[in-house]
Order: sequence, then structure tokens, then C-alpha cells
Amino acid sequence: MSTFPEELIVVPPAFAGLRRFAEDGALRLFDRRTGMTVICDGEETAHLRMRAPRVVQFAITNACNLACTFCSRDVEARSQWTPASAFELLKGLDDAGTLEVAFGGGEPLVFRGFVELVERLSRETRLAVSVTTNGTRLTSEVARALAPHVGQIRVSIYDDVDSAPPIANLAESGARFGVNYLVTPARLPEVEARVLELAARGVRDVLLLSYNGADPSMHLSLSESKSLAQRVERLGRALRGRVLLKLDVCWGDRMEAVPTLFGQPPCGAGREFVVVTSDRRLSPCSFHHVSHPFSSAADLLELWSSERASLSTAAQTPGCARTSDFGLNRPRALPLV
Amino acid sequence: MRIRIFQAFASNNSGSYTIVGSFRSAAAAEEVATLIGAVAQAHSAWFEQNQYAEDGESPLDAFAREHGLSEERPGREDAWPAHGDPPSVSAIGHQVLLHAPYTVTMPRLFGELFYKKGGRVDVEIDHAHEELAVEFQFWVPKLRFDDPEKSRRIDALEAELAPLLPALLVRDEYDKRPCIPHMFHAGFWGSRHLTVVMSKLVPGVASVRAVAERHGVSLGVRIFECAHGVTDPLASLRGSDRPWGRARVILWSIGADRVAALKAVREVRGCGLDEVKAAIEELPTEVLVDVDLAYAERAVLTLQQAGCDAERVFPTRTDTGET
Repeated sequence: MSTFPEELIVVPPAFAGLRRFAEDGALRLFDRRTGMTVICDGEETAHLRMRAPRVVQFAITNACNLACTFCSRDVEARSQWTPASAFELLKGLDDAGTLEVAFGGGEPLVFRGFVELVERLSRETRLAVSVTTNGTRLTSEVARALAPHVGQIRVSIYDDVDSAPPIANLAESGARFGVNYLVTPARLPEVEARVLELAARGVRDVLLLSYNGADPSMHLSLSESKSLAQRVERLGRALRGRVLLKLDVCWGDRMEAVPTLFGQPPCGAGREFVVVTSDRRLSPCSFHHVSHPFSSAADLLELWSSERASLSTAAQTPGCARTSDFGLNRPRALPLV
Repeated sequence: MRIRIFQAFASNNSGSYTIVGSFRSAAAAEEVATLIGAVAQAHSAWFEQNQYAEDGESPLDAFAREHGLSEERPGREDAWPAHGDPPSVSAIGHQVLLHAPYTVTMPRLFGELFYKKGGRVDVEIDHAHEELAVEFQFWVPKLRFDDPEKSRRIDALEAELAPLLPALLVRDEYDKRPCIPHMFHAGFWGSRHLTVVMSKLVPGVASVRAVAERHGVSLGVRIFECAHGVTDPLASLRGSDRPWGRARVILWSIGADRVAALKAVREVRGCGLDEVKAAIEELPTEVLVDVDLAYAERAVLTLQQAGCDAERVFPTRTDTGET
């Protein structure tokens, strides 16, 4: 039986039980239940190379019981996945070293057999399982069924959906959970109020998302971005120790005023994380125009390796942090028919 | 090799954990508090080192085995504080208080231990998001409830506590909500109480206990979680500006002028019309409870002037008045 090079690196005894993942020049140690992460780098790890994407974002279905205008999915597209085929793919990626699967959609809780799939992944793989949901189907029974088997559950909150019941159900279930909040120009003035309200309801983790899409009214202007950065910096100080505030990678350098953990990391789309779509394609991220069909875990890994160049390109959708101006200042053109 | 550590997932939804147990004697409570304090300290140290690379018996495993407690693998994963202060414990008279300010939950075995040691669980509050209020009840051992010496000692205790309490209410730096003022108030049969929402529960309770001991006053605690979104969770205790005492006022009957009687009852009770109507629905009734003698006498006069038959009662042998 071969030993992977990361297994030979000596780490402090307190971290000996964490799962190991080889990054390019570094060793990542990971606990799938809590998300505790230790990154070791130095001469001892310089020879390590990533062999699989660390995270797979799995849009297991495009179907959704909501119809949000900003959603990037084609909700008419039928899912090509079954619980069994999804498990087979993810088991293969787990064996290859992938640490996490993050289910999204569409709405993953409308996918038949989803809870059973999560439970099976928890029992039969080493993957950390995360779920992002709109919360409308997150009953107390579903929350309790998922809680022992997931690393975290994230609830996307919307203005026209009452997020209080799913948040209460999650708090009661003991699951680790956070809230995703899309920041638009209209929502910017109420960011502080909304975050403080969530904190009062038991939320300990809030991810502020940027918009990716063609609607210019949903993108923050430069001055609005600066305003958001100031608000986040202030909230971060006020809520330190109570609520973790996170910013998605697509904000890029627009959030320069906000202190970051380890500096500004480059976008890891296509390399560190990939998206598996409901029609069985591999894409760098949820908003990207590039995608490649695949049939199996081995096939996916082969594409991940051979298509590195195409998977590392910028998305054409406005809002991508890989473009210098986030694709927001392009001259307008009539759509081609 | 450089090592960087962070938590990638959402933090778990933490709250506070509190358990209070009562025992037959202060010595028994002290013994249990000492036992729990020692194992909590040892297990916290073990947990910090071993939560991600667990191997072998933990201090709580050994503790459970030694005391015949049934819980398997206690104090692991979410059942022990992963962040912030470790659990703290204190004996308060016949009671033991264990509190963890920020955890998902705590093992069940502490409650089991209470029963094994001949005590019982007074209250267990698991995963509280709201602040905890502590209601202290003061009494003086071996003195009758109406012994003037009892009142003198508790008066002195309250006088010493009053300037110390604001320091125990101070919130964390990030928490800009105003502090909730403490409240001295009365209980059944003239018992004297203090209810307070303290920023640090166990040290705060220990501070009050230390002052009480100096005055020869014993205390017991009841703990409850404050209601969500309420600016002043102790508002119900402040509902009356009536001076506390042991007098009561009985309304035997009302006179011919019902409206005048309603107004008088409303005046002495300081309540709304609906409450007044309900209060006089079935007579006789106690319209005032636990007020001081002078207030009760004034109330009786007011009621009598409205044509009511009212009487004040004062539950002492000598009826010599308030101290």
C-alpha cells in the first residue's frame, strides 16, 4: 500500500488526529466536524502538490421552490444525479483526497433522498458535508436529521422569506450553521441592523455575498463597496467573539479596509474548489461560463488536472474577482441574437 | 515550519449552560463543588490538547467510572466548551452552581452526580441564548422570620451590597446595551430577595455570598433565563413603587358607590381598571400583599373613605410595627 508524502510529515501531537490534505507547498490538516483547519508550510512541505480539489461544490439539482431574480441557475434543467450516483462520485473524490462537499443548488432539500445521501456520506466517507439551503424546507425534523452528519448548514436569507423558523430549528438542533446574506445597493444601509438582528437570534456566522450577474442595479458601486468595507470592519470589532463575519471571495480587493486572516488569497475557483453541476459538468465556480462534461470521479480528476488553464480563467459574468474591474465597467452592447 | 490555525466552518450555535443542585448540608455541597471543580479543570486541559486527536481515557471518563455515573464518553465534541472560559463552579450554602458561559451543551453526568450524592437538581438550563438572572433569597439561620435582628442583618447586607453591585453588572466591551439594574424585593412571608443579571455569573454569585457570610446571612439562589428582546427583564419586579413590608390589606366589602370603590382600589393598587374589576369580583380579597405598615394604613383609609370595609393585617405576635 503506497504512502502519500503528506502522511510522512511530523505535526504537533494535538493535530495528529486531523485529516491530511496536500496543497501546493503546504500541508492542510482538517477536522470535518468542526472545520478546524491547520495549515503547515515550510521546507518540510515544499515538495507537496495538490492531487484533488479540496472542496467540491455540488449543485445536485437546479430545482428550487423559490424564483429569485438574481439566481444564476436554469431551474428547468433536470438533474442527472440520483442519490446513488452522487454518492459514487463523492466516494471516488473522497478516496482521491477531497476534504469537503458543499451541497447547493437549486435547493438541495427538494432533491429526493437528500437527507439519506448526507447520512450515508457521513457514515461511509471521510468527507465534511455542508449544505446551503433557502431554509423553506428546513423543518425541525430535517434539521435534527442533518445535524449529526454535517459540518455546517448555511441558510440563504431573502427579503420575502421568513428565515426565523429555519434559524430557530437549526439553533435547536445543535447543528453548526451560518447565514448567507447577499449585499446589494438596496440592502447596504441595513447591513448592520440585519447582522445584529441575526446575532440576537442565535446566528454565530454571517457570510456577506456579492452579486454575480448581469443586472447592474444589483452590483455595489466603488463608493458603496467602500461603505460596506467600513461597515463590516466596524461590525467585526463590535461582534468579536460573538459572531464570525465572512466575505465571499468574489469581493476581491473591494474589501481592502477589512482585516483578513492571512492576507488576500487569490480566487481558488477551478483549483482549490470546483463546481459539479446538476447536468454532470465540471465548472470552476457557480457563475462561470466554462464547463466540461464528465462521467466519473476519475474523469473529473483528469479534467481538473488537464483543463487547469480553462478552469483558471475569469468568469464572463460581471462580478468576478479575477477581472481587474470585476467586469463592471465594460461598454454596454446589445445582446447578439 | 509555520503553522496557522483557523476555524473554517460556521461556529456552532453556542449558548450558556447552567446547573444548580441542592444538598442536605453546606458540607455536602462544598464537597461536590470541589469534586466538580477539580475534574472540570482537568478535563478542560485534556480537551484543549486532545479534542482533535483523542486517545484513551479522559479525566471525565475516569470521574464517571469512579463515581458510578452512567454517561459514556462525557464531555467530548460539543459537550464541552471549545472556546472561551472553561466551566466554573461554586458552592453557595447548600447549593452547587456550575456554569459554562459559551458552549453547545455539557455532559449529563453532573446532574446524575447530584442525585448520587444525595442532592437534587434545582434547575438545569442548557443552551441559553439570553442572559441569566439570579434571584438570591436571604435568611438568617436560627432566627425567626419576625425577629428584628434578622431585618437588621439583612438591611446591613443590602446596604453593603448596593454600591458593589454595579461593578458586577458591567457588560462586555462589544455589548452596548445598558446594564439591567438589580432589584431588591420581597418574597413570601416577608422573605428578602435580590435579583440581578450579572456579567460573570459564578464570580458574581461568589461575591454576593462573601458579603452575606460577613453579615451572618445565608442565601439560596434560583436562576432563570431572561425573555428574549425584553429591555428590562426585571420590570415585573419593579412594577410597584409600594414600599415592601409584611402588612396586607383585606377588602371585605364595597359600599353603595361602586365607582368610588373602583377608583379607590385602583389608587391603592396602582393598576388598570380591568384588574381592579377582577380584583373585586369575589370578596373578600387581599388587595395589597407585602407592603409596609404605613402604606397599608393609608390604603385602608383611602378605601374606607370610598365606603369600603377594609382592614389591614400584620402577621406578628406583638404588632409593634415595621423596623
